[in-house]
Amino acid sequence: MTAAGAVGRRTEPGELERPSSLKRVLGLGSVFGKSIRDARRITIGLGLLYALIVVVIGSQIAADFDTAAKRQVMATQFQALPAIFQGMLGPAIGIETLGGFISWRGLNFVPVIYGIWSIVALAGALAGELARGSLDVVASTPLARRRLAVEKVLAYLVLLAVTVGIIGLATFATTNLFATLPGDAVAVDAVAAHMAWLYLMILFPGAAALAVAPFVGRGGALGVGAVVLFASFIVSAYAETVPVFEAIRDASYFHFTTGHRPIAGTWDWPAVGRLALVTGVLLVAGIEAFARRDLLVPGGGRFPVPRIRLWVMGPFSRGLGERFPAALVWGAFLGLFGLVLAASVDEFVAQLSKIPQVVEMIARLFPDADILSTAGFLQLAFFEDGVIIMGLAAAAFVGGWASDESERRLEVVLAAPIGRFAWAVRSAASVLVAIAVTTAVLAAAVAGGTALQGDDPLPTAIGVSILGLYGMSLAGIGLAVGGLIRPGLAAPVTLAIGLGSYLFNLVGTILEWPAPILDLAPQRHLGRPMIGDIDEIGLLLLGALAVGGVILCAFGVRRRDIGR
Amino acid sequence: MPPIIQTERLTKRYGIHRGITEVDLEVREGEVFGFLGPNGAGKTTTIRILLDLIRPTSGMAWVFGIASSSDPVAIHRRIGYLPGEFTLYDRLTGTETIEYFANLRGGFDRAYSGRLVERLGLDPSRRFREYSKGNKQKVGLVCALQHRPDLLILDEPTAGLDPLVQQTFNEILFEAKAEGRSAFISSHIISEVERTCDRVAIIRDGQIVRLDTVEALREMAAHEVELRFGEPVDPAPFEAIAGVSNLVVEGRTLRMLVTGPVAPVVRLAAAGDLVDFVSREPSLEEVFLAEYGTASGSPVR
Repeated sequence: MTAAGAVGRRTEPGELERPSSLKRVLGLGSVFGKSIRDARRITIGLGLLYALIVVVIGSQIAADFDTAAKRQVMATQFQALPAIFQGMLGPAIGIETLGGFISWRGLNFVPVIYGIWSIVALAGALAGELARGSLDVVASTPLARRRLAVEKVLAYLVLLAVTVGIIGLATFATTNLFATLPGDAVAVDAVAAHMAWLYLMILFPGAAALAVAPFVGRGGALGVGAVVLFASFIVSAYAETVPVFEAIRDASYFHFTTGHRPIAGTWDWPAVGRLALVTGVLLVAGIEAFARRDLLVPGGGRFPVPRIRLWVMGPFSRGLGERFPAALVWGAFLGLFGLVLAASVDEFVAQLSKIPQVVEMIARLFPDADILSTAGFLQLAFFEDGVIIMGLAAAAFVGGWASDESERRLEVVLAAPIGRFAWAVRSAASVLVAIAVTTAVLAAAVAGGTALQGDDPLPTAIGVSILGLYGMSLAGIGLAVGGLIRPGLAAPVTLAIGLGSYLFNLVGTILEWPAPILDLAPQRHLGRPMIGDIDEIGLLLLGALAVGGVILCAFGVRRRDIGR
Repeated sequence: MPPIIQTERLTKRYGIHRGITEVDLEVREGEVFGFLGPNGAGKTTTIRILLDLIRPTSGMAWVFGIASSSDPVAIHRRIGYLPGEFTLYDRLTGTETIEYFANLRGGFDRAYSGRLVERLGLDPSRRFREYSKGNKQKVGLVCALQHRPDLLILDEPTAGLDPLVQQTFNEILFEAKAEGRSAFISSHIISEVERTCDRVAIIRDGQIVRLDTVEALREMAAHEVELRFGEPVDPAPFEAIAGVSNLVVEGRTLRMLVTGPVAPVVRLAAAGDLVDFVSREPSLEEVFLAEYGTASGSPVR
């Protein structure tokens, strides 16, 4: 049996107000317009934030190094540092010029920080709306599924272009307004070429997340995007010091585009073209997968956790049960990084020992510690990056905690004979314990790597524990804000402090801000625990932030309205 | 007249889990069709296939004569859909939400939407996240109704609505039917289906077990019959009538269930000293519960 041709008739509506062009582009006139409207503030905010950093770095460098001789000395010093000290910023290319320095110290880290935004935005663009339940209504309108996906993705591409455009304008203005030496001023085409690279670098991990989101859901896509971003970044940053990474570094998009820094004077369009091609393929794959597959929230692929009664004993165990799989994954991910680094120490030390000037410089920088040990190497190569990743993990756990209230589960829980204060203390404590689980897995991995080198694993285990305490302190701040004000702020505040304090410390150190100001950054109170340099007062402060945050959270939850 | 909705051996499996199995349906133009079944029976799966939100494992579905997977946009242009479980955009107000979905359909009929908002008693100035469950449902209903679609596909449309608003919704539905439009309503609120629907399908464990008019379904179910006589009566002749069951004798009163025509019972009773006769028609709810309670349903073709 087959159906006959189209039947029935369409009832024409009455007076229709067609959406204006403005509403279609920036408003409720289309999926594209609504997506732009929803994210316009954060887009401009992110652009302005980094524009400010570029201006500050550029103006200070121009003022402090106002002669060619000073610039050359500065550049020689930085370029003499082995890769391990240059760490996450990559090779110092053309840093004697204003553009080169801004590129190295300012813009090279943008793909990491804003790459996270890209992952969150594109993993959630379709899969997030599907999980919330609003996508069914949108998909039942006369809008083809493919077009719906294209409009959502296109909106993000435009938003990202605005953010990068603002950074580009600031870069162009800074390099031209503060140009004091020959070579400082950067032409507009070089800035545009640089921003094209920056745009693709930010977009790439998000495109990877988009491509897998129809298969693994929003959570899985976030994980895949994060692995693509951080694994590529770390492999590229430490390829010269870690032999395992060197073997695979060509697969890292951070590495194969290293030669394209137009504002520093080097161009590599073929590499950028390769990145553009892969990014485009991933975006198309994500759109096609969305258009062709069932609109279902993927059920499988989650990290398996034994179904035991422990997870339903009360608010604490439920909270921990919710976050336990993620805690293991975060620990394993970060732990693998630490394990590889720890297992590479001997090779690194052997290489470094061949350069007496560097050994001498290290001794000057760290007179009270044996930096050429496994622990010392981990302090430099692992701990500083671990601070950022632990901040992300803390924000993820706090976000999960906040969802109990924002998704209205809390109202059901509080209908049981459980006081608000008790719920808040127990559920918030589960966040801290989840971070402890991550830390324990991480410590086991790193200590194992240290033991493989024949060194004492205890100091590194202690060092990792302090990293965990730092994560708990960030979570404490987020929980306090979530409890006192509203849950929707908890994760963004945790993330902002985690990443913001890193940037604050980075910029402040470059610009030689006074110590009392720099000390506002929490990670400056961690000491150098991997090499036994422990800041006891700092640790007390971090502990107080963690515990105090939970208590403040509980007070806040007890007194304010629930469900805001 | 060709059907508005037609499915043929429509089957959907979710891995090892059952979805629906060989569902055959026809919804006629101008008809309000009820789709009854308990939670998890396959109602929403069927609807989502009709809308091409998911695709069948086997079988076919046509809406307006168009295969659901071949041109879903053409189908969507003429339908209004309310999902059973949904959430919209927390930060948009009711007005903004309604306008957004109108815009996705080509334009906003402000006057008609306004009338719907007024009739349903919705305050459209509040943000979606501030609405109660019932008010969220009203927003969803306005979004589904505001473009006067040829076919309404409504999954649990009155969930969360108070009785007054339910009545208003029924009025709107009757008006749509009077204008020749069709509706496919999934529900497990049987009284609502009984009031509003012309025909009903009952789905059970992913299969259609009954499909007919409300009246016919009632006819198929047992009537409760009570006969009071002036003198004691022998129940045996009544027991011998086809369709009579559960016969109980209480003094001069006989109570029984009669499936099928009641006339043979009436004729036999009239031959005796019949004082009073009471026959109660079964409700759709009893039909439904009988289907699920006796577990005797077999799929219909």
